[in-house]
Amino acid sequence: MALRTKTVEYPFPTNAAPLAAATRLDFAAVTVYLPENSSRTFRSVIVEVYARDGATTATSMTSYLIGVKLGAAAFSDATQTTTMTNTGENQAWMFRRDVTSYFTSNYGSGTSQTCQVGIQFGASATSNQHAKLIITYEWDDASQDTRVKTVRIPLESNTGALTTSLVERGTNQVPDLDALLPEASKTYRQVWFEVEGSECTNGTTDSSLGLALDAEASDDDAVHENALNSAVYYRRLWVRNDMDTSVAHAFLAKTSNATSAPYCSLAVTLCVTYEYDHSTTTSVMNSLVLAMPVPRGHAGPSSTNKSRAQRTVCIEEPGTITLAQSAVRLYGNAFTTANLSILVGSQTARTYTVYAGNYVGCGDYCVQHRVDSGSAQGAALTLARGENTVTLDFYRATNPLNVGAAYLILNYTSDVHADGDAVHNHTTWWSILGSQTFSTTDDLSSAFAPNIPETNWYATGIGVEAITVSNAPGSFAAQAVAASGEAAGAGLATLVAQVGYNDFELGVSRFFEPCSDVFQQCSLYRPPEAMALETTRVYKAGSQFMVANLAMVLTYHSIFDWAVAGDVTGYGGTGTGLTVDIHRADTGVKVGETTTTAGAFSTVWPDDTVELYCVVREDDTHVGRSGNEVPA
Amino acid sequence: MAFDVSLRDPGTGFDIALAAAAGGDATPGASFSLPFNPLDVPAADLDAIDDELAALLTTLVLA
Repeated sequence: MALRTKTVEYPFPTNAAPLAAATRLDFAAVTVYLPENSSRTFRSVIVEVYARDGATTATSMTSYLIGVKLGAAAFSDATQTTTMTNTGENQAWMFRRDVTSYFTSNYGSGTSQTCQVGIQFGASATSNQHAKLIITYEWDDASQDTRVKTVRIPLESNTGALTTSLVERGTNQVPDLDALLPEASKTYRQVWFEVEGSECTNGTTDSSLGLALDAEASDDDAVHENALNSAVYYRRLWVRNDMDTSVAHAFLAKTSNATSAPYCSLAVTLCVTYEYDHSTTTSVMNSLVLAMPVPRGHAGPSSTNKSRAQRTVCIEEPGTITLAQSAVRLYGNAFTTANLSILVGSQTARTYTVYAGNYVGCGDYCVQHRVDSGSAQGAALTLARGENTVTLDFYRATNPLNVGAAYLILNYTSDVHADGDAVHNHTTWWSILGSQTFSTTDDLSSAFAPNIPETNWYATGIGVEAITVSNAPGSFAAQAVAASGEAAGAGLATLVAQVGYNDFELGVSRFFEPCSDVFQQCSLYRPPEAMALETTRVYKAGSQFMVANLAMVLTYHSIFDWAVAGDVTGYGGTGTGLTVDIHRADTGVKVGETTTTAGAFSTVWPDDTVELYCVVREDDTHVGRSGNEVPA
Repeated sequence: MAFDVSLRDPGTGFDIALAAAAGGDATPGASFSLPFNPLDVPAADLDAIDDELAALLTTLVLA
């Protein structure tokens, strides 16, 4: 068969106890199951760590350590010694380390391996630490019947704040996984909830966040120190490998103090890493993460003058395409009481309170809005084979607020392609730059390119992701060096640029920007204005006054089942070597080219829904155009 | 085949010589290999066609 890529995730759950400054925490070992061990090559392995501070006085963190350990091998530690001056607030940090080479050397050739992550923070006490592995590897799909995947199932945020009693978020938003996930013979390896958002703090009483399923008692996290009255960006990984996967569940949440930590628009995603038997699977869940092109600046001021982010999603898998539980997620920053109204496609707007008071924003707020029939607003769209347009609208109902990033968590089921599900749309993460030090200079990556093993690929989505920790008004930009003959020529081209996206305080912000207009989208053709996706190049994180990292989030498929083929007649020469330009019939945009042999031409094609036409010009007296046609 | 291209001498300037793709059908609306797109025809040419049709109708009426 063929070499493929995939990305899976494994969580290290949120630690239940506070941690003193300069004290090491080694998370309990997790077994990392990677059953595809034929020609396996680790392409990108990221350790992502989070910690909230536990200090009662403003404390500047002076260093952070991220360690990783596989099996009997020794820990590999990396410490960044760097001081981020505290702005007088409670705070949080999120960092990434690239540990690809360590995995290459120490994972071994088996189908599983135990793994530990260790962390340590200088100068500041911390709480609610957790970690996650984001593992991208290449593998040969021949005779690999047992396969593993990670899917994300988004829950919709509530429109208002938490109370001190457990209250369900929506209605039975945690699905019956056995029924939802259509693969055969599933074995669940990790089931966890990623709970994320601003604490929306407006008081100095310490707090904790309680979570529960159904009638369970509240599972409270470690204490959140609120002495400095700061609205901190928070994330909790709530691992629930004990959850009954054969029934739906109610998801409930509470806070211990509705003033100190109301978590106004808490966003929750159920993540599942599971193995299945590919040989007996006839239907699969395709789970994608696709960046949305958010307009810069403040959100639109009204429903009339709303912000709009629109993107196309190309779906080419066989069989019936059915939208499953899916959502858009938005990150941003507010300065005072703020509401955000969100709608997608045919929905009416739902208004979320993201800040209920005049908080001191120390990092992003986060809100999640479903687009399937389980949304409070009903289904936003239906999906079909071919191009699907997703339109996200948002606007503010009260005071100005920023939306710095948005992405689509899109889940749909399809039949299995004849070449296996590894050719389907799938989202992969590629570390470009691990978290660096706090400095006044930009950070440059080593030469980087995603390594796509398939000859033919179509990039449904190309995004650049960054997580920043800053303590000044943020102006973040990520760029890549174009080569001569690409884009505007040799020099830096912008991938994402966001100015003035946050408050003056120390906090975590997240960026995820679509770059499909910057890079070529298909292996068959690179428009002259686009950069070659597979060419190694230096990337730059414009990370003055912050600690930043960069990753590429690439969603692609390798379904090239169709052909653009024809015969050129009437040529004056041999009919060989004539250039055939392929255009979209609806826009006229050139999307491909091929050449003739004795007048004949044929090239594989990744779609059979969009009308095309071909143009040939041998010379000024031999010119022609085909009719409009759909590849077959 | 579907994307057949029949090369022609288009003439001078931006003139366009319309023709059926090899194996296609030049009758408007008859098949999706139709190479004719009215939007591709310069307005001056359409005017000329109009003039010819008017002259033809006049001839028929007089006859």
